Amino acid sequence: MEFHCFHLMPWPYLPPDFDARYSSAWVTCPNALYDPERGHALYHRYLDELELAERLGFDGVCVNEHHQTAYGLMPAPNVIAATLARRTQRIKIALMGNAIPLRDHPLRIAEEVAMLDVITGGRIISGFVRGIGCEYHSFGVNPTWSRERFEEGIDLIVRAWTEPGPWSHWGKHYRVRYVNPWPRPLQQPHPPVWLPGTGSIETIETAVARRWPYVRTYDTIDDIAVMYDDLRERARRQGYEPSPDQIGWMVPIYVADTDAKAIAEAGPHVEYLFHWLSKRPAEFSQPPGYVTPRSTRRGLEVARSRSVAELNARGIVVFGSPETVRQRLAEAHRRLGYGKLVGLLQFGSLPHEQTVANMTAFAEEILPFVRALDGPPAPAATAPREVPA
Amino acid sequence: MSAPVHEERRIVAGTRLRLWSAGTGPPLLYLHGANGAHWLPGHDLLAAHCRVLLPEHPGWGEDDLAGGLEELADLVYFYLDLLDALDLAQVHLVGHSLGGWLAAEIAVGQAHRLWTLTLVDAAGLWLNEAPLPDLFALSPAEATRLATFNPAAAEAALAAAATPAAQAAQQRARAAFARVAWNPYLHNPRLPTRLHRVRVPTLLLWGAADRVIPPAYADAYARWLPDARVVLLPECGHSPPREQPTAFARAVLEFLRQHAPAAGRLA
Repeated sequence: MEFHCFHLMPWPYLPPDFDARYSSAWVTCPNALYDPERGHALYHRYLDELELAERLGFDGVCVNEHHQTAYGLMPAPNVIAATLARRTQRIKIALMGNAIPLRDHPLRIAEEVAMLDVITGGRIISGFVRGIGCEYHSFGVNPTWSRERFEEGIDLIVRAWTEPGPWSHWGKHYRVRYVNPWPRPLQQPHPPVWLPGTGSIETIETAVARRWPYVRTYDTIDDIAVMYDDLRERARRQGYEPSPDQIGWMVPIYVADTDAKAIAEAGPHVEYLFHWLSKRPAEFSQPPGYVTPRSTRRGLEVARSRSVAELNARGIVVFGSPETVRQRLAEAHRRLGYGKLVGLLQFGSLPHEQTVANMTAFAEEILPFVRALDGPPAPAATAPREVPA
Repeated sequence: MSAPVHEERRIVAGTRLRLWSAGTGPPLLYLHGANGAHWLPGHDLLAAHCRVLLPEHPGWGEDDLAGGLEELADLVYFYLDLLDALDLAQVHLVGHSLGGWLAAEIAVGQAHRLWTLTLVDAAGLWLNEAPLPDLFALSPAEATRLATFNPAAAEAALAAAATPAAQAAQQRARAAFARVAWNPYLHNPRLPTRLHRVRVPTLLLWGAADRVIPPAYADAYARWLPDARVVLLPECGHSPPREQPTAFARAVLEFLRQHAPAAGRLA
């Protein structure tokens, strides 16, 4: 069992009249609402929280990619990972980007991730995502090609990491005569790849076919359980039983002394996440052709109008006393069989002191219990690598 | 009394095509806009004087383009295949909105297949001084209201499109529309340098109150095309054959009577 601490780096300073004045926190949300002076302090606060994750003994931190939005301030996840690379020694750094179809060239991703992997001594986990629908508006990338660019880009990146160059790639969306990236990644055959997703069938199929972990974000526990049963069934049809390692669950978690205190303390901040930061018209989040007819798009939309009590009751978030959180994570483990728990311990407008308290409480009260959920403890985390002076 | 409308499905160059037609006389090929194929009152009025052919763009309805729809040029070549399949040496070509852009691209490459060209509230160009609104950022209801001059007519159109089947079709049409028009948005940046090749009489017929592709675009086409005239229809938004069918048909027929060469003269 691995525990990874996810961060979105949200903008917590939307004005009090945001909901009344603005129809979206994405794409068209005026960037005059971003204040670089406050942003400077905010980046350092958030980076402090990610660095704390290492001291608390978490297995990994997850950085994220979103564009032109108050929802998250990491348009370049590799930049954030680079700032963490030399400030941490042991912890894994999971890139819950890179949004392949949004980039001009997948080889740039292959290069940057390989750089990070070499610099960190092999602590990089490479997520591959498509980016959400809004980002196709923000980047002008045609959403109807999203899936094809994603699949071809993954293929090109993994081959660039593993096949001795130079060689040529003549694809549909990318054509390169000389594929020969320097540096090559340190981890062999290549850094672990995760596919974070919101339930598109095609992404699940890719995860099953390549036997990569699929990390499900925001949904009701019932729907995630159905989705993971489906993933297991698809894997069995391909002749294997997925290990817990392949099952990842991303969920906002908040631990306080009592259930009532947890709801009261975290409620407004998670509602800020789901009600304000996630606000956008359907035309932004679901551009034409972004989702195939056979895949339904749920994700954030299921959480949009719900109160914290309802979010908690449906398992979209796990908030409560230590005992409650332990029992609910155990129950979810029985239902989902996850081997990677990805906890969002800062969310929405949750302030620094509360975030640190939540992270600390999780480390002390929950983490030892979670580690024991699937039997014997995981192998020791990567030993720090000597860094030459 | 309007001519009966005949609906057929035929295979054209490996693609299953749905085609509506009515009337007799010189053939008039009508290329529909991004919202899909609809036989409208304006088409009935044209069919009283010529043979109107209204195909559904492959990718918009149930059937896909053989070989895939990857860019607008795929439809250009498909419609050349259709002209060959129907054994039509020349036609009057009319295109509305996205279909107008398509018609302009066909005309640029194959003007000799046309007696005349009519662009109705046509896409295809971009003017920095009159940027087009982003239809992909609007809900179908918002887009219909923006496109329609008469608010009551907009609400009626929305009510008619409220069935699940219509909405599923709309979703498919929007994906096909996005495929060819997402970026560059609804235009071909190279088109202006090619329009001089369209040496056939051209009508630029525009809703005077079009807010989707405003009449400034008719003027822009008129600047680049060698033989074009602009006609604006008052109290009309983006869809003349739907909103002002009589004025639409009258303007098209008058243009054809005045400018069609002998072979394409109206009955």
